[in-house]
Formats: sequence, structure tokens, C-alpha cells
Amino acid sequence: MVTLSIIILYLLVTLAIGYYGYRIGQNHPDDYFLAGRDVGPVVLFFTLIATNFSAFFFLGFAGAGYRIGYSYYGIMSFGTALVALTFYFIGHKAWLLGKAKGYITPPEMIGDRFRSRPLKVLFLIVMVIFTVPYLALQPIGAGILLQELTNGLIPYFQGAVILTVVIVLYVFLGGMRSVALTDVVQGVIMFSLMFLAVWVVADALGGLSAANARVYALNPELFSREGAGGYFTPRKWFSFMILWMLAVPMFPQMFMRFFISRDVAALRTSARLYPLVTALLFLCPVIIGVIGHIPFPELAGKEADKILPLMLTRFTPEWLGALIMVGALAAFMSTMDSQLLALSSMLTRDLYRDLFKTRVTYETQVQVGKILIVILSLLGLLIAYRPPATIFQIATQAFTGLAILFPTTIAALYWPRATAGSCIASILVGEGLLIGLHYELIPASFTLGFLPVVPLVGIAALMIVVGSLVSGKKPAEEM
Amino acid sequence: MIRPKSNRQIIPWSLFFAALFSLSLDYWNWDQPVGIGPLHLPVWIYGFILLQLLLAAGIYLFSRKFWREPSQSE
Repeated sequence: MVTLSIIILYLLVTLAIGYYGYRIGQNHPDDYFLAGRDVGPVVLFFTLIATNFSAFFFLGFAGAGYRIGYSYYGIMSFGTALVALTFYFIGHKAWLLGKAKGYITPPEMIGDRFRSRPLKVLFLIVMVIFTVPYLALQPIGAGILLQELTNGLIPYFQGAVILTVVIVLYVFLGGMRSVALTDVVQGVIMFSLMFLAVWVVADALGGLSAANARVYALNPELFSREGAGGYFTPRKWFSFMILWMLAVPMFPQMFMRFFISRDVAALRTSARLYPLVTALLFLCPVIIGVIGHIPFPELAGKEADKILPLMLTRFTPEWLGALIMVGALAAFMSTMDSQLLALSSMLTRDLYRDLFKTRVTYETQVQVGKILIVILSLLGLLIAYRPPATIFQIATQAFTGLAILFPTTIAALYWPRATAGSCIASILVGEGLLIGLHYELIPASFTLGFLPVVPLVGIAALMIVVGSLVSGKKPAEEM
Repeated sequence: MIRPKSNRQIIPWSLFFAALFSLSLDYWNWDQPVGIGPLHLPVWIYGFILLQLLLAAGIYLFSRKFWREPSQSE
């Protein structure tokens, strides 16, 4: 009862903030999809991190910490911290262009730069295909967490449905304004309660030093650089280290946040603070995963992803467990709302508007975007109904698929000689190779021991360079 | 098309960030016995925390000089 009361209170507060976003908004695509491009430093910082840190951050990190050990912190924290650099070399340029040309979505920007509708559509298709599975991660994580913490009172799928309905309500009403404002609250809750979770759980195990010493005695491999069972090889480590920097800015919900910044200061502040957050915050779920070996030494496969809720249930009183769980729910919701809005924006602007050019008013765009939010959320729930493999594997596929768009984005922003044809070829070949590797049509040895992202992004970049030089076309006009 | 502004001035910073990235590939540490630091955490974890603090400091200093409002820098 206490748990349910806390969850209901949190959801009501979230809805109230979402409603406030709706009240101060306007019925215009720029306002609905991008909050009028007027988001200041504090809100932008929180919406960037709350959007990026998802269900994967809570359940995936703790689960991987349990399986792999502390080595996982090194790769995730610094790898993610490097994303801050892209706020400058992608975000700043995208923001300038968005402001000057009125772009709302990434495919709009790419398509306009190359004056190529096929490239715009291809960019859109890839973003949608790889964001939808990642969207489904959020209700999956929420469902697992609610089920564990209520001891099955809220079954997995019902939990997923409840949270999705709340998210759809406030995104539907207020668009980006509601999403960004709820992200601030969700971000603050997520941060503070994650630290509280580590403190409480470690305290229950005799303090962090004592808990770590016990785990070290049980399984010293969890403290090794390679990770338990030699999980990381040097090539795998290198691959993960660059994966996030290549992939995170290519997630449409992250890319679109570059457009919403009020000024340079807002984006700059976010870049400065981002590595500080990853340094401290990312350690928390990994610690919980590692010291989870003390009470739960035998979890395997998907079970390891449940280590966080299991630890909270075991070591915290009901009210505190529920409060901490709200932090995890905040992580799910803050990512899913942004994904829904980004996908609906792209499908509205880059597909619907292009198909019915003459009849699409600004009001119609907003209405279509709202309808798509409902449809996309149902699609996410459909995938969550029978979740595939482990959360970790799904996330890695989505990251790699989107990272293949990175060379095209860099070429669009920095290389006047780049051609649409070479970018299209680069994306098609990159994604084709990824599909071939996934279905084992191409032997795993093709990647030379790296994760697929390394050779595939390398090949994609090479195709743009060679294709553009061979075409002999003149450099593009000034944008 | 928006071009990077002064490449020569940015090169030292690019090298600095590349050096941080290289330090994160600390393969020389991999086969060594694990040292245990405060809170009984492996010592190399503190190395990664330090790298992120250096990255934040680097971005702060870089952005103070090069990342300005469009009227001044673009």
C-alpha cells in the first residue's frame, strides 16, 4: 500500500508538470516539438541527461555490474563522458543550422544539406527502425521493476501499460515543453535516489568497504580490468569506448535536443557538466550490481538484470524501496517520453508533411504528431509484451545501427565535397553489413575481434570519402 | 556549410582530448595485479574518475575560448 501510494503520488506530480507545460505552450510545430527553441541551461542539462540515461542505465548497468564487475564502470562512464564533446562538434553546428533554417528533425537537416529526398527518407528510416526497439526497453524495464518491488502485485505487463499511459498523456498534451520540464524533476529524482540507493544497500551490508571486501574474497575477477571471465578484450574495450560517442548523438531524441537550446550558453553548460555526472552517477548502479553477489550469488542471464530491484526489496524498508524505485521509474519515463516525441516529430515532418505538402497546416502537424505518439506507444508495448534476449543485447544493436549515421552527419556539417549518393551508399552498405552480421550471413571474424560498430562505421566513412572524391562534383553551396 | 573556424588553434585541444581517450585504453594495466584503494574499490577506478574530471576541465577551458555566441565566433 505504501509503495503504491508513493508511485501514484509521483505519477500525479509528473502529470501536473506535464499539464503545466501544456498550459504555457502554443499550437505550433516549433513550440510543440522543440519548446519554441527557448530551453535554458538548467532545463537543457537535465533533459539531455534524463533522456540519455534510460532503463538501460538502471537495470542494464546493475545487471552488467553483476555479470562483468567494476570494469563495466570504466567503459560506460568515460565512454559516455566523451559524448559531451559531440555537444560541440555536432550540437553547436546543428543548433546554428536549426536556428537559421528552422529545422525540427535530423532528417530534415541532412536532406536539406544534400538537397536529397532519398537521403532524407533513408536517414529517417534508419532512425525509426533502431529507435523503436530502444523505445520498447523502457516499458520492459518499468514492468520488471514494478513487478519486483510490489512482489508481483503489479504484474510485468500491467506495470508497463500503466507507465506508458501516463507518459502518453503528458507528451500528448504538452509536447517538448512538458517533456523537458518533467525531465528536470525526473533527473533530480534519479540522481538523488540513485545515491541514496547505494548508501542504504551498502550500509545494510556493513558499509561499502566491507561489502567490497566480501565480494573480492568471493570473486576477485569482478575487480579486474578485463572483467569477470576476461569479458573485455583490448579490441572490445576500444569498441565500447567509441561506441557511445558515435551512437548517442545519433539517437533522434538526443539530436533534437541540440535544436531546443535557447543560446550557446545552454549547450555549453551541458557539455561542461556532463562528464562530472557520468563520473559519479554511473558508479552507483555498478556498485549495487557487484555487491549483489553477497546476497544473490547465483543469478544468471536475464535474472542478473533484476539485481537492482532484488537488492532494494531485500535491504530497504518498503517506503524507502518505493521511493528509490521512483528514481528508476523516472529514468524509464524520461527516456521514453523523448523517444515518443522524437519519433512522432520525424514521422510528421519528414513523412506526413512531405506526402501531403499542400494540405498540411501547422495545426495539422501538431495533431498528426499527437496521433502518432499514441500509435508509437502501442507499438512499444507490443514489443514489450514478449521482450527478446537481454536488455543489454537489444541496446547494443540499436546503438550500432544508429552509429552508422555518424559519418553522414559529420560529412553534412563539415565537408562541402560530400555527396548525397556517397552518403546513401555509406548508410545502405553499413546497415546491410550489420544485418548480415546479426543473421550470421557474414562470419563474426569479419569484425577482427572488434564490436561491429568499429569496422562498420569505418567502412561507412570510407565510402563517403571515396564516393564523394570519385564523383568529382563541386563542393556544396553555403547552407 | 559551416566550417570549423580556426583549425590551428583547435589542434592542441584536439590532441589533449585524444590523449585523454588514449589514457582510457590502459592496456598496460590489464595483466597487473589489482591494487585496492579507498572503499575497497580497485585503484584503476579512481583513474577513470580522474580522467572524467580532466575531460570536464578541458571542455570548460576549451569552451571559454572557442565556444561563443554566433555573432562573435561564426
